[in-house]
Amino acid sequence: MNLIAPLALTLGATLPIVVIFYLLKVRRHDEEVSSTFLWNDLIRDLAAHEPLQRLKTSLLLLLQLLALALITFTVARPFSEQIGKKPVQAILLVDGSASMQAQDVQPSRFARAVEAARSTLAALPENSLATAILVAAHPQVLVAATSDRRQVDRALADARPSGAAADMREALLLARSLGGDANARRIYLFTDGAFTLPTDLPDDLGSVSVVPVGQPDTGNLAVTTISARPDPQDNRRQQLFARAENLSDTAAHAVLTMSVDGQAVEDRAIDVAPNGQSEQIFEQLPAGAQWASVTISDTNGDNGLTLDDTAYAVLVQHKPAQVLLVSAGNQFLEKVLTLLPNVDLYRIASQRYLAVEADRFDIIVFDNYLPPLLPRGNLLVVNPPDRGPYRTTGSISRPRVATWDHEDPILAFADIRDMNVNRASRLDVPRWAKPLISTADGVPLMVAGQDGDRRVVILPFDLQQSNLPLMAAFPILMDNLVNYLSPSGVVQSSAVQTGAPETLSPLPQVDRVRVATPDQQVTEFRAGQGPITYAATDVPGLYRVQQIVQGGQQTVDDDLFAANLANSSASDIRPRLAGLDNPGPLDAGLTILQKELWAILAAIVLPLLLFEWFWFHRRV
Amino acid sequence: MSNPQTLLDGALARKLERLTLVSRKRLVGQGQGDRRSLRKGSSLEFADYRHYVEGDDPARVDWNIYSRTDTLFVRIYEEEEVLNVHMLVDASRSMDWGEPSKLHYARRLAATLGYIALNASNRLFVWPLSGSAVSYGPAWGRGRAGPMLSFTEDIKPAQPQTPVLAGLHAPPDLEQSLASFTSRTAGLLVLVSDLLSPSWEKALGRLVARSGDMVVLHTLSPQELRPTLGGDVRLIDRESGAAVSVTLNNDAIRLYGQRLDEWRRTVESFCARHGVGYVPIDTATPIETLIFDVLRRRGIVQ
Repeated sequence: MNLIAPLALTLGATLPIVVIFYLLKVRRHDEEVSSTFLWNDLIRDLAAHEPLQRLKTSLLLLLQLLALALITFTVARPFSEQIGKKPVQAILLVDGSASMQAQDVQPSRFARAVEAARSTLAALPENSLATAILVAAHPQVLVAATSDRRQVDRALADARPSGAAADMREALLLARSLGGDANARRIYLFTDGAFTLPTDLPDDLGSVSVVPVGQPDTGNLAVTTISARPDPQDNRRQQLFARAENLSDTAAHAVLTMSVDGQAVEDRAIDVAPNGQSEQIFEQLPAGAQWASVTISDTNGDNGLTLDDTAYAVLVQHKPAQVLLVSAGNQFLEKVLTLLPNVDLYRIASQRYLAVEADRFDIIVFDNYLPPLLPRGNLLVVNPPDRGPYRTTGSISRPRVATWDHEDPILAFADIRDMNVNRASRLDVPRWAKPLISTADGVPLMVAGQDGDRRVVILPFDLQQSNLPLMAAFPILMDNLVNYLSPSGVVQSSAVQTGAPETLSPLPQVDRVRVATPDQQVTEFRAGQGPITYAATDVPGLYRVQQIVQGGQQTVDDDLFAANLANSSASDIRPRLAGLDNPGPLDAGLTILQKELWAILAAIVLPLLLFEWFWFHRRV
Repeated sequence: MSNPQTLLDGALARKLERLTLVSRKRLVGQGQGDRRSLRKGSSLEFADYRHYVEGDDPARVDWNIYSRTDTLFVRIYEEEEVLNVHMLVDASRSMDWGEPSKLHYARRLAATLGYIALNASNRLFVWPLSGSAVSYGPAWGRGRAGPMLSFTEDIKPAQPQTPVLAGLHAPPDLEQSLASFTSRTAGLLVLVSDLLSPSWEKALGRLVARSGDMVVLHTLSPQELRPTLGGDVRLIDRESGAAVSVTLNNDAIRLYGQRLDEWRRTVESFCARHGVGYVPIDTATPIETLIFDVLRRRGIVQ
């Protein structure tokens, strides 16, 4: 037997302290007696013999010394050497992708995978370290490198599958980096294999054992695409496009049910060939509807995965942007803004700006003018004055366009290479702004960016001192600018794939943003810190976004976005993984293990202390 | 004043009328009594007259002399003698302790034995040993039972501020308390005491030096005979206030028991050597049981 911490034996020096405690006076409570006449004689007897008699005969002292000695020995961590299996560093990857919710095996593929992972965990050699990772759209480390198997087991039992496609490559790379020494690392992947192995995996993954779950020939019907657009004949109405796929090797007879705002509107019977698809267009959706869904159901009742049977689409209806033009008079701006669709234009002279409630406009165009206090809406600032929120330092004569960001949506299809400017202000580029058009000297001629809650575009020159209003690119540029500056609602995109993030851009006056998932889980975010990235989109369905103002008293512009699996590959739940299983070469030989004995010693000390406690209370 | 009846109820009093105190020595008294002398033989012979005092039996009044002199005289006979009974009740603070209180028990015992003595026409004195000079008696005859009970009931424990007879500030010990026992008359001494005093031997020695018979009723409470204290304690002496620190574990309790037995044997041995009756009493014992069982068996009463 050896000791891991032999220095701890110095704690044995405390043993004499216990003996000293027995020699010290103790705190006594007073008791009145008729006379101490007899006790006086007794004390003389006791006093003459007490120290030696106690040390010789006190069972309590013996028990305490024994307990202290055992504790000292326990702290020194004695161990014995035994022959046993080499410990490993096990990485348990549990596939939490959408296909794992298939119930071709009972209760589900995911439950089977968890069960297999827990069995593997229990069979690991002693002293092994285990890491549990849930493979989802982004892999989640449930427990990292611990020898506490109960902790890992609890984490596995608590894991839940996602409704999204999994990023297997990222999970395997994470497993490799968390697994430590390659010789001891062993990756276990519990999966249905319903994915194609990424081609760019590194070669040094080491030992990978694939534990398959699920039936190999399980087919699936899915709505893999859904999209809404305005009806070309009547743009007040919308059309719905849906693609249904038969991801099996047998032909399917199915019914597509189209619903609007939760009410079934149309059933359409379809036949889909093996591994084929059927594209359907639903027209004449009711005007004013908020959302639509398409559900596929197999007439035979067979369907491997249910979460991709329904796809949702939000029926987006843009309102015209409310634009306020603050100018002493600019025919070019007035003309182009009047002509642009989806713009309601209002004009005001600069000197009368303060008489207008500017905060209610979506876009404010300041031409050769800036108020001391900026309004809340998005801004197009043309030729800002020297003093003000957007400072300029001097001017530049006849700047030439040298570079422009033609990939930016603001400059899409706008050819401004021939733009000439007679004189431009030298703008101090704010930190939040990105130059879109610059001269060879780096002087910006157009910047854009997100200043807190508002979007701002600045043109640091007078339009009437340039040929820009006369160019063909001008109306295109202005259309792009209005699109950029128009509020598109709080949600950035009306549809995302499950697991993909949604960007929420609350209105400036909003205090909080509340998101309700399809299963009515509600999350609140504080607004005012710029766009919010919402990533908890694992559940397919409709997410409702509320913007709350005035401390929760009101909500403004509730918005919806849809999350759909919308992924043929993810909906194909047939196992097709090959080439990953590579269990060896792992040195699984025997080794000498140090088996610590503290648990046994603790099991002795505890009852010993309990008995000591009992004996102490029994004697008095 | 409390009701004397608490010391002696009527039923017990009726039972006590059949009893008398027993003295094992020849005693000479000054008055007339029901006790037959061991010295004078068995015949009744007239010896003298003396003035009537309250409590004398009216049957012994010489009415002829009264008719001639208008003065009450009683006849006395040599064959009959008066037994002086001195009831010494230890009223130290150590006696005022225990459950039931030893002093209360001692008062009841003194009252009971006093009633027996009065009933037997003994001359009774009651001497509280508390440092005070108050005493009761002489009294004889059943008619004095009421005042005797009242006096006994009023016996108070010695107070801490009791003037000391010896020493500067220490309370009177048992021997010092005997200073209040001023009677020179011989008779039967009945000492009711716990003897919990270092001077117990001197005190008893002083009493046995007197002529007469003596009985020690050694009265201890159950808490003294079988202590239930435990743990680390500081014992405070009720009389002196002195403190003794002790850890009362099984060993200490056992040693105390040994010391107590040894001490009681020493007292008993002292009494035996000096012809003194000795009765160890546990205050848990009912008075009636004590009188009719213990004291009768030991020949203190008959």
